[in-house]
Amino acid sequence: MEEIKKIAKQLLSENKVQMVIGFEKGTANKVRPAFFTKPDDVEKLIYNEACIHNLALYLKKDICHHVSNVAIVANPNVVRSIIQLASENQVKEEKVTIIGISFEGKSIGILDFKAAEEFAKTQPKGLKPEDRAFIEKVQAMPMEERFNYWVETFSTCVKCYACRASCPMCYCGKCNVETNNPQWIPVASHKYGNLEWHIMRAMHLAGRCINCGECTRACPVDIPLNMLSYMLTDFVMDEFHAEAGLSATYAPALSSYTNIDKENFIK
Amino acid sequence: MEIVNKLLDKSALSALIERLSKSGKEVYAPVKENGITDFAKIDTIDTIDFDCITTIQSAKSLVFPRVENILSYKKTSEDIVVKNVDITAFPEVVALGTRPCDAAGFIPLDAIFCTDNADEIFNARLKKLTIISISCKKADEYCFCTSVNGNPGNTAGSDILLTEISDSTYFAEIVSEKGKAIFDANTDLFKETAAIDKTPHLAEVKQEFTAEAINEKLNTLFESDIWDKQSMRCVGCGACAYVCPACGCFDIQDENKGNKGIRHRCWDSCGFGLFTLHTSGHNPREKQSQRWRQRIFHKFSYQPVQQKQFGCVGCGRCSRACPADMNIAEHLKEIAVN
Amino acid sequence: MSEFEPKIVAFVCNWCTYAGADLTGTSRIKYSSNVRIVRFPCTGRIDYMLLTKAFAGGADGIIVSGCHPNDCHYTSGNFYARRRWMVFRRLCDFMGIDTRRIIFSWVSAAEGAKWAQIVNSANEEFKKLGPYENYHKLSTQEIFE
Ligand code: SF4
Ligand code: SF4
Ligand code: SF4
Ligand code: SF4
Repeated sequence: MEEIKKIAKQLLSENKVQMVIGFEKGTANKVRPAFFTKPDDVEKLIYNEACIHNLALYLKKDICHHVSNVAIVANPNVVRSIIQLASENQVKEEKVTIIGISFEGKSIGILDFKAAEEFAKTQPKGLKPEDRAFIEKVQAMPMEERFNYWVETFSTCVKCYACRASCPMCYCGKCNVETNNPQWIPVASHKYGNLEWHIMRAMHLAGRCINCGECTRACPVDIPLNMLSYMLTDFVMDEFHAEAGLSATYAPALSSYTNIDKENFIK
Repeated sequence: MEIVNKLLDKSALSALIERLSKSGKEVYAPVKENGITDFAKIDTIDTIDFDCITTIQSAKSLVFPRVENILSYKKTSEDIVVKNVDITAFPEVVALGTRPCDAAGFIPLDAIFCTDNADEIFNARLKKLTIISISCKKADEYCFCTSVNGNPGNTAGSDILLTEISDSTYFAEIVSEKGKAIFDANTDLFKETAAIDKTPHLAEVKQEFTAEAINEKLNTLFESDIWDKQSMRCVGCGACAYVCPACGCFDIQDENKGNKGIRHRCWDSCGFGLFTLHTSGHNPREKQSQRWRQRIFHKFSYQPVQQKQFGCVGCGRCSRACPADMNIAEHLKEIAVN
Repeated sequence: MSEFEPKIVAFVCNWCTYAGADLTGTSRIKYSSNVRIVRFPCTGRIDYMLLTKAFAGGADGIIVSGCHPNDCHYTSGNFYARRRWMVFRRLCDFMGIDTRRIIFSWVSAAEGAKWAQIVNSANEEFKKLGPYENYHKLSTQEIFE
């Protein structure tokens, strides 16, 4: 933590960046995202095992619009998100300074995008066993039951869009649910509206989701919506050998193609 | 009506719940399911989660559901038939195990829905709702009812307030006519008692500021940079407004299929960028900080003027639900000392 | 009682399959009449949410069709579409939406006969599967009489 603070302080005092995005103490034993603009503020910066929020989401919020250079305290999930955002031309290397944090919570110093890619590649990847077990459990249900399972699971969704607002990859200036001429996804949070919203979001995250779980963490009613995009991430990896957040230059799997993609399902 | 003091044993509460649901009333209470506690329909005391401090969502959906049909329409070859929702068909509902802050939340909500015109649908539901609250034995670091004119044993908004005075007994305060109706129909379940001092049985919630002080302060803070500072980490979702017992904003939406359709009222939130977006593309609240300011101003400055009510009852739900740990009590305290 | 006639919606691209279907007509090849064709500029434009909309609207089966690989009028629209369909099919499967009711095909402007055969066999298949209700029901339960 001292090491992170030292780097942050130095970046700010040398005016290499105007803002450092990190963590500070939150309510009770929680932590919360914090934004440091003065070297002295950095005293409040903390980093511990509770710091799991995906801070990369702030790079696309209006607070970063008027800052020419930001530094960001980046655990492996954040690093991968930044790389993914870069591959979608959403962040520029000269604007973002990555203060890398290892999986174990140790500072590994400032990473340029090249080093960040290398770092990301060495981190644990793919589905966690419990996620795989969940997906297999759902997959084993008969079709009708699977459908009802998801309808019921999403029936408690209040459409607060905390999942979307907390996802670094959901940066669209105007989300598809806000396309209202005509209304693309029903606004109401009834079962049908909820199902369509989650199908749509899962498709948008396919091949872009980096499995950070931020959406589900943000959800006030604990809906396991991340399982849809995790499942698709896994599928995309199997089918297209592409994984989000590892290369800042490759296009995301669904924004590219090869002429040998499978087509045994096409007549 | 003057408050009537009674005793209600836990076994009697259990019998009361069974009687109420047998008599055709829908009884809702905090129920823990899939790890989270929210209001759900019950018919026995066994399913109630008495331990939770507050449910994730408030009880407002009993009178202001997150989606409700307000009318349906159908085009025939001659005519367009419009049918309003049948407000006489709403069920009698009992909310049991609401907290005093939940109950108090219905007061500003009611005030919103009765500004200018009394909203028929809302009022029809509210008329059929009886609120049996349970005082708080515990509070957490998010609770701040005492700073906004409430307290863990507050009777305001409840029809009956139960306070646990021993492992087997509640002290019951019959607060309103609706509460009395339930009492009158079940007198055999209640026992006589003199007034009891509830204080030893209540949680302690330290008062940190007063709603009036916030109101006063806001007069000069509209242009302050405090809103930018406080809302930096706000991600702009609707979680806070949707769990809040006192937030009443909604959106009207039509959904149609072929020649028939329906008009819904759905929850909406001032935290969304789309909330104030004009057709022209202009957005009077284009930054998140302006939306955050709106949230605080509406509750502590506009509502006291328009509806003579504060729009916050200090339940702390918004802070618990916030993905970015925006703690409203902390922010209000900061405003109070500003 | 008359036999069940599935409602079929076909989402096709303007340049190949639509022209192919035209050819089916001008060649006077007979095919099932219970298919409604919706024309798009390119398969790349066929948003998967349109398929769910079709189910919501009461379709019992869907055909999605466009130019063969390397024949896309816009060079690569169908390549992007192909990947998207794979992913969408996987998602539908995972969510319990009946993927047997979505048939994908490549039909060129010269394949009038193939189009007739695709539609006819799809029709047979959907007939066997019977009416598709769960998605439709879900979307209409909110709309009362
Ligand atoms: S759900 Fe889709 S359209 Fe909406 S913000 Fe996320 S990626 Fe963009
Ligand atoms: S955060 Fe949860 S409740 Fe809110 S829109 Fe997402 S899934 Fe629905
Ligand atoms: S205060 Fe929290 S819950 Fe409310 S809009 Fe902001 S991030 Fe969402
Ligand atoms: S603003 Fe927050 S604390 Fe106040 S009543 Fe609403 S949810 Fe409760």
